[in-house]
Amino acid sequence: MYTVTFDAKLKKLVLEAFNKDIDDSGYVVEKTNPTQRVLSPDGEEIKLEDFAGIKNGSEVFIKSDLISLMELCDSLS
Amino acid sequence: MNIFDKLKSIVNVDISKLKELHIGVIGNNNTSIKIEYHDNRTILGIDPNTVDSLEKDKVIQILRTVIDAKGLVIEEKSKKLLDDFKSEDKLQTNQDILSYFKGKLPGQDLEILRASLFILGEFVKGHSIESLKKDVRNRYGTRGNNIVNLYSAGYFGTVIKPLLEEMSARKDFSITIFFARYEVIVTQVTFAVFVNRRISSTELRNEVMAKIALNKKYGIKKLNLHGIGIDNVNKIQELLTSIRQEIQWPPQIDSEKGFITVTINF
Repeated sequence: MYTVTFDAKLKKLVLEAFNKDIDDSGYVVEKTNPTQRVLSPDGEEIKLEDFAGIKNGSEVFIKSDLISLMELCDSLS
Repeated sequence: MNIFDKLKSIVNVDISKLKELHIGVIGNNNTSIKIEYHDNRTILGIDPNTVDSLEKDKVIQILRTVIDAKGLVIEEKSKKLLDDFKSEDKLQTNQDILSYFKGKLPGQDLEILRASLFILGEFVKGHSIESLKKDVRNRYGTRGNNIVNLYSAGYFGTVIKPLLEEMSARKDFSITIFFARYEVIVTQVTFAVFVNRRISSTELRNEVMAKIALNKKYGIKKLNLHGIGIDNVNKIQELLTSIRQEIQWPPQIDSEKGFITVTINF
Protein backbone atom coordinates (compact mmCIF):
# COMPACT_ATOMS: atom_id res chain seq x y z
CA MET A 1 0.00 0.00 0.00
CA TYR A 2 1.46 3.30 -1.05
CA THR A 3 1.93 5.88 1.68
CA VAL A 4 2.49 9.61 1.40
CA THR A 5 3.46 11.59 4.48
CA PHE A 6 2.88 15.28 4.95
CA ASP A 7 4.04 18.06 7.22
CA ALA A 8 1.59 18.93 10.01
CA LYS A 9 1.45 22.50 8.69
CA LEU A 10 -0.23 21.17 5.54
CA LYS A 11 -3.23 19.62 7.29
CA LYS A 12 -5.63 22.20 5.89
CA LEU A 13 -4.36 21.65 2.36
CA VAL A 14 -4.80 17.89 2.74
CA LEU A 15 -8.33 18.41 3.99
CA GLU A 16 -9.06 20.82 1.15
CA ALA A 17 -7.97 18.10 -1.30
CA PHE A 18 -10.86 15.98 -0.02
CA ASN A 19 -13.43 18.77 0.14
CA LYS A 20 -13.21 19.29 3.85
CA ASP A 21 -12.99 22.48 5.87
CA ILE A 22 -12.65 23.54 9.49
CA ASP A 23 -15.56 25.03 11.42
CA ASP A 24 -15.35 27.82 13.98
CA SER A 25 -14.84 25.31 16.79
CA GLY A 26 -11.87 23.74 15.04
CA TYR A 27 -13.62 20.58 13.83
CA VAL A 28 -13.22 19.01 10.40
CA VAL A 29 -16.44 19.47 8.38
CA GLU A 30 -17.80 18.79 4.91
CA LYS A 31 -17.09 21.76 2.67
CA THR A 32 -20.46 21.39 0.94
CA ASN A 33 -22.27 20.99 4.27
CA PRO A 34 -20.39 22.76 7.03
CA THR A 35 -22.85 21.63 9.68
CA GLN A 36 -21.78 18.03 9.06
CA ARG A 37 -18.72 17.20 11.09
CA VAL A 38 -16.55 14.41 9.75
CA LEU A 39 -16.40 11.29 11.92
CA SER A 40 -13.47 9.00 12.66
CA PRO A 41 -13.96 5.20 12.42
CA ASP A 42 -14.89 5.12 16.10
CA GLY A 43 -17.61 7.69 15.56
CA GLU A 44 -15.82 10.68 17.04
CA GLU A 45 -15.73 14.17 15.59
CA ILE A 46 -12.22 15.23 14.64
CA LYS A 47 -10.47 18.43 15.56
CA LEU A 48 -7.84 19.79 13.20
CA GLU A 49 -5.13 19.26 15.84
CA ASP A 50 -6.11 15.56 16.12
CA PHE A 51 -6.34 14.94 12.37
CA ALA A 52 -3.65 12.50 11.25
CA GLY A 53 -4.60 11.48 7.74
CA ILE A 54 -6.83 9.62 5.33
CA LYS A 55 -6.95 5.98 4.41
CA ASN A 56 -7.54 4.13 1.17
CA GLY A 57 -10.74 3.66 -0.71
CA SER A 58 -13.59 5.41 1.05
CA GLU A 59 -12.90 8.43 3.12
CA VAL A 60 -11.62 7.08 6.39
CA PHE A 61 -10.33 9.95 8.47
CA ILE A 62 -7.67 9.00 10.98
CA LYS A 63 -6.98 10.62 14.33
CA SER A 64 -3.49 11.00 15.72
CA ASP A 65 -3.97 9.37 19.14
CA LEU A 66 -2.28 6.06 19.97
CA ILE A 67 -5.49 4.01 20.03
CA SER A 68 -6.62 5.29 16.60
CA LEU A 69 -3.20 4.47 15.17
CA MET A 70 -3.33 0.99 16.71
CA GLU A 71 -6.68 0.47 14.97
CA LEU A 72 -5.16 1.77 11.73
CA CYS A 73 -2.29 -0.69 12.15
CA ASP A 74 -4.78 -3.57 12.43
CA SER A 75 -6.80 -2.41 9.44
CA LEU A 76 -3.65 -2.28 7.31
CA SER A 77 -2.55 -5.82 8.27
CA MET B 1 -0.78 2.90 -15.43
CA ASN B 2 0.63 2.13 -11.98
CA ILE B 3 0.68 4.66 -9.18
CA PHE B 4 4.28 5.71 -9.83
CA ASP B 5 3.48 6.48 -13.45
CA LYS B 6 0.39 8.40 -12.37
CA LEU B 7 2.39 10.46 -9.88
CA LYS B 8 5.05 11.13 -12.47
CA SER B 9 2.39 12.35 -14.89
CA ILE B 10 1.40 14.99 -12.32
CA VAL B 11 4.83 16.10 -11.18
CA ASN B 12 8.04 15.27 -13.01
CA VAL B 13 9.74 13.13 -10.36
CA ASP B 14 12.30 10.37 -10.55
CA ILE B 15 10.21 7.18 -10.27
CA SER B 16 13.14 5.25 -8.82
CA LYS B 17 13.06 7.51 -5.76
CA LEU B 18 9.30 7.36 -5.24
CA LYS B 19 9.39 4.52 -2.73
CA GLU B 20 8.82 7.19 -0.10
CA LEU B 21 7.04 10.44 -0.84
CA HIS B 22 6.71 13.32 1.58
CA ILE B 23 4.96 16.65 1.11
CA GLY B 24 6.77 19.25 3.15
CA VAL B 25 6.76 22.96 3.83
CA ILE B 26 9.31 25.40 2.48
CA GLY B 27 9.47 29.11 3.07
CA ASN B 28 10.92 31.87 0.96
CA ASN B 29 7.59 32.78 -0.66
CA ASN B 30 7.90 30.08 -3.32
CA THR B 31 5.01 29.84 -5.73
CA SER B 32 5.96 26.47 -7.15
CA ILE B 33 6.67 22.94 -5.93
CA LYS B 34 10.30 22.26 -5.13
CA ILE B 35 11.41 18.67 -5.67
CA GLU B 36 14.24 17.23 -3.62
CA TYR B 37 15.63 13.76 -3.05
CA HIS B 38 17.11 12.62 0.26
CA ASP B 39 18.04 9.03 1.08
CA ASN B 40 15.74 7.46 -1.48
CA ARG B 41 12.87 9.70 -0.40
CA THR B 42 11.19 12.24 -2.67
CA ILE B 43 10.19 15.49 -0.98
CA LEU B 44 7.78 17.89 -2.59
CA GLY B 45 8.20 21.20 -0.83
CA ILE B 46 5.61 23.94 -1.00
CA ASP B 47 4.89 27.19 0.74
CA PRO B 48 1.18 26.83 1.56
CA ASN B 49 0.83 30.62 1.85
CA THR B 50 2.27 31.56 -1.53
CA VAL B 51 2.03 28.48 -3.75
CA ASP B 52 0.14 29.32 -6.93
CA SER B 53 -3.15 27.61 -7.67
CA LEU B 54 -1.88 25.41 -10.52
CA GLU B 55 0.95 24.03 -8.38
CA LYS B 56 -1.38 23.58 -5.45
CA ASP B 57 -3.77 21.63 -7.69
CA LYS B 58 -0.91 19.27 -8.51
CA VAL B 59 -0.46 18.50 -4.83
CA ILE B 60 -4.19 17.95 -4.45
CA GLN B 61 -4.16 15.66 -7.47
CA ILE B 62 -1.28 13.67 -5.96
CA LEU B 63 -3.14 13.20 -2.69
CA ARG B 64 -6.32 12.08 -4.45
CA THR B 65 -4.37 9.74 -6.71
CA VAL B 66 -2.83 8.01 -3.70
CA ILE B 67 -6.20 7.61 -1.99
CA ASP B 68 -7.88 6.43 -5.19
CA ALA B 69 -5.15 3.80 -5.43
CA LYS B 70 -6.14 2.67 -1.92
CA GLY B 71 -3.06 4.23 -0.38
CA LEU B 72 -2.52 6.14 2.84
CA VAL B 73 -1.99 9.86 3.35
CA ILE B 74 -0.68 10.46 6.84
CA GLU B 75 0.97 13.21 8.84
CA GLU B 76 4.65 12.56 9.42
CA LYS B 77 4.67 12.31 13.22
CA SER B 78 1.68 9.98 13.19
CA LYS B 79 3.46 7.79 10.63
CA LYS B 80 6.42 7.54 12.98
CA LEU B 81 4.18 6.60 15.89
CA LEU B 82 2.43 4.04 13.70
CA ASP B 83 5.75 2.51 12.63
CA ASP B 84 7.10 2.53 16.20
CA PHE B 85 3.96 0.79 17.41
CA LYS B 86 4.16 -1.85 14.66
CA SER B 87 7.78 -2.63 15.57
CA GLU B 88 7.08 -2.92 19.29
CA ASP B 89 3.85 -4.87 18.77
CA LYS B 90 5.68 -7.48 16.67
CA LEU B 91 8.24 -8.29 19.35
CA GLN B 92 7.94 -11.94 20.35
CA THR B 93 7.93 -11.10 24.06
CA ASN B 94 4.94 -8.81 23.57
CA GLN B 95 3.13 -11.27 21.33
CA ASP B 96 3.63 -13.99 23.95
CA ILE B 97 2.04 -11.80 26.64
CA LEU B 98 -0.90 -10.90 24.44
CA SER B 99 -1.38 -14.54 23.40
CA TYR B 100 -1.45 -15.61 27.02
CA PHE B 101 -4.10 -13.08 28.01
CA LYS B 102 -6.22 -13.44 24.86
CA GLY B 103 -9.65 -14.64 25.90
CA LYS B 104 -8.77 -14.19 29.55
CA LEU B 105 -9.44 -10.48 29.98
CA PRO B 106 -12.85 -8.82 29.80
CA GLY B 107 -14.03 -6.37 27.17
CA GLN B 108 -11.41 -4.13 25.67
CA ASP B 109 -8.78 -4.81 28.30
CA LEU B 110 -6.63 -6.82 25.89
CA GLU B 111 -6.37 -3.77 23.62
CA ILE B 112 -5.53 -1.61 26.61
CA LEU B 113 -2.86 -4.15 27.59
CA ARG B 114 -1.52 -3.98 24.04
CA ALA B 115 -1.22 -0.19 24.33
CA SER B 116 0.40 -0.64 27.76
CA LEU B 117 3.10 -2.89 26.30
CA PHE B 118 3.96 -0.22 23.77
CA ILE B 119 3.91 2.58 26.34
CA LEU B 120 6.30 0.72 28.63
CA GLY B 121 8.57 0.03 25.66
CA GLU B 122 8.68 3.74 24.88
CA PHE B 123 9.37 4.57 28.52
CA VAL B 124 12.27 2.13 28.64
CA LYS B 125 13.73 3.81 25.54
CA GLY B 126 13.62 7.13 27.35
CA HIS B 127 10.78 8.61 25.28
CA SER B 128 8.09 10.77 26.79
CA ILE B 129 4.92 8.79 27.40
CA GLU B 130 2.59 11.40 28.85
CA SER B 131 0.67 12.00 25.63
CA LEU B 132 0.40 8.24 25.02
CA LYS B 133 -1.02 7.70 28.51
CA LYS B 134 -3.40 10.57 27.92
CA ASP B 135 -4.55 8.92 24.67
CA VAL B 136 -5.37 5.74 26.61
CA ARG B 137 -7.15 7.72 29.31
CA ASN B 138 -9.17 9.67 26.74
CA ARG B 139 -10.39 6.49 25.06
CA TYR B 140 -10.69 4.11 28.01
CA GLY B 141 -11.00 6.41 31.01
CA THR B 142 -9.68 5.64 34.48
CA ARG B 143 -9.78 1.92 33.73
CA GLY B 144 -7.34 2.40 30.86
CA ASN B 145 -5.07 4.46 33.07
CA ASN B 146 -5.16 1.82 35.78
CA ILE B 147 -4.27 -1.00 33.40
CA VAL B 148 -1.33 0.98 31.99
CA ASN B 149 -0.09 1.55 35.54
CA LEU B 150 -0.66 -2.08 36.55
CA TYR B 151 1.34 -3.29 33.57
CA SER B 152 4.22 -0.86 34.03
CA ALA B 153 4.46 -1.85 37.70
CA GLY B 154 4.81 -5.47 36.63
CA TYR B 155 1.55 -6.60 38.18
CA PHE B 156 0.30 -8.46 35.13
CA GLY B 157 3.21 -10.82 35.59
CA THR B 158 3.42 -10.90 39.38
CA VAL B 159 -0.25 -10.66 40.37
CA ILE B 160 -2.80 -11.14 37.60
CA LYS B 161 -1.21 -14.09 35.83
CA PRO B 162 -0.48 -15.98 39.08
CA LEU B 163 -4.00 -15.26 40.26
CA LEU B 164 -5.43 -16.67 37.06
CA GLU B 165 -3.23 -19.75 37.26
CA GLU B 166 -4.08 -20.32 40.92
CA MET B 167 -7.79 -19.99 40.24
CA SER B 168 -7.85 -21.99 37.02
CA ALA B 169 -6.32 -24.97 38.82
CA ARG B 170 -9.52 -25.31 40.79
CA LYS B 171 -12.21 -27.76 39.63
CA ASP B 172 -15.02 -25.21 39.90
CA PHE B 173 -13.14 -22.51 38.00
CA SER B 174 -14.99 -20.27 35.58
CA ILE B 175 -13.63 -17.20 33.88
CA THR B 176 -16.39 -15.04 35.41
CA ILE B 177 -15.08 -15.88 38.88
CA PHE B 178 -11.64 -14.69 37.81
CA PHE B 179 -13.17 -11.56 36.23
CA ALA B 180 -14.74 -10.62 39.56
CA ARG B 181 -11.38 -10.64 41.32
CA TYR B 182 -9.58 -9.10 38.39
CA GLU B 183 -12.14 -6.30 38.42
CA VAL B 184 -11.26 -5.44 42.01
CA ILE B 185 -7.57 -5.25 41.12
CA VAL B 186 -8.13 -3.06 38.07
CA THR B 187 -10.64 -0.66 39.59
CA GLN B 188 -8.94 -0.35 42.97
CA VAL B 189 -5.29 -0.28 41.92
CA THR B 190 -4.63 3.18 43.29
CA PHE B 191 -5.62 1.99 46.74
CA ALA B 192 -3.75 -1.30 46.65
CA VAL B 193 -0.65 -2.99 47.96
CA PHE B 194 0.25 -6.21 46.19
CA VAL B 195 2.01 -8.65 48.44
CA ASN B 196 4.65 -10.86 46.88
CA ARG B 197 6.90 -13.58 48.24
CA ARG B 198 10.01 -11.40 48.10
CA ILE B 199 8.74 -8.94 50.70
CA SER B 200 9.44 -9.78 54.34
CA SER B 201 6.81 -9.37 57.04
CA THR B 202 8.65 -6.35 58.44
CA GLU B 203 8.98 -4.71 55.03
CA LEU B 204 5.31 -5.36 54.35
CA ARG B 205 4.25 -3.80 57.65
CA ASN B 206 6.41 -0.75 56.97
CA GLU B 207 5.03 -0.37 53.44
CA VAL B 208 1.43 -0.72 54.55
CA MET B 209 1.84 1.74 57.44
CA ALA B 210 3.50 4.26 55.11
CA LYS B 211 0.68 3.82 52.61
CA ILE B 212 -1.94 4.28 55.35
CA ALA B 213 -0.23 7.49 56.49
CA LEU B 214 -0.06 8.78 52.91
CA ASN B 215 -3.69 7.94 52.21
CA LYS B 216 -4.81 9.58 55.45
CA LYS B 217 -2.90 12.73 54.54
CA TYR B 218 -4.97 13.08 51.37
CA GLY B 219 -8.30 12.09 52.83
CA ILE B 220 -8.27 8.55 51.46
CA LYS B 221 -9.64 6.26 54.09
CA LYS B 222 -9.00 2.83 52.73
CA LEU B 223 -6.36 0.48 51.42
CA ASN B 224 -6.61 -2.89 49.67
CA LEU B 225 -4.15 -5.72 50.12
CA HIS B 226 -3.88 -8.51 47.54
CA GLY B 227 -2.01 -11.74 48.04
CA ILE B 228 -1.70 -14.88 45.93
CA GLY B 229 -0.35 -18.16 47.22
CA ILE B 230 -0.57 -19.63 50.71
CA ASP B 231 2.58 -17.86 51.97
CA ASN B 232 1.30 -14.44 50.95
CA VAL B 233 -2.15 -15.17 52.34
CA ASN B 234 -0.53 -16.04 55.68
CA LYS B 235 1.69 -12.98 55.51
CA ILE B 236 -1.32 -10.71 55.11
CA GLN B 237 -3.21 -12.41 57.92
CA GLU B 238 -0.20 -11.92 60.24
CA LEU B 239 0.03 -8.31 59.15
CA LEU B 240 -3.60 -7.67 60.02
CA THR B 241 -3.04 -8.94 63.52
CA SER B 242 0.01 -6.71 63.93
CA ILE B 243 -1.76 -3.53 62.78
CA ARG B 244 -5.08 -4.20 64.44
CA GLN B 245 -4.84 -1.12 66.63
CA GLU B 246 -4.18 1.16 63.64
CA ILE B 247 -7.26 0.29 61.60
CA GLN B 248 -10.98 -0.17 61.87
CA TRP B 249 -11.71 -3.68 62.99
CA PRO B 250 -12.65 -6.05 61.51
CA PRO B 251 -11.34 -5.42 57.99
CA GLN B 252 -13.25 -6.80 54.99
CA ILE B 253 -11.63 -10.05 53.98
CA ASP B 254 -12.32 -11.97 50.80
CA SER B 255 -10.22 -15.08 50.97
CA GLU B 256 -10.04 -18.52 49.46
CA LYS B 257 -7.41 -21.20 49.67
CA GLY B 258 -4.75 -19.60 47.47
CA PHE B 259 -5.60 -15.89 47.45
CA ILE B 260 -6.83 -13.06 49.58
CA THR B 261 -8.11 -9.53 49.15
CA VAL B 262 -8.46 -7.35 52.23
CA THR B 263 -10.00 -3.91 52.41
CA ILE B 264 -8.70 -1.92 55.37
CA ASN B 265 -10.58 1.17 56.47
CA PHE B 266 -9.08 3.77 58.76
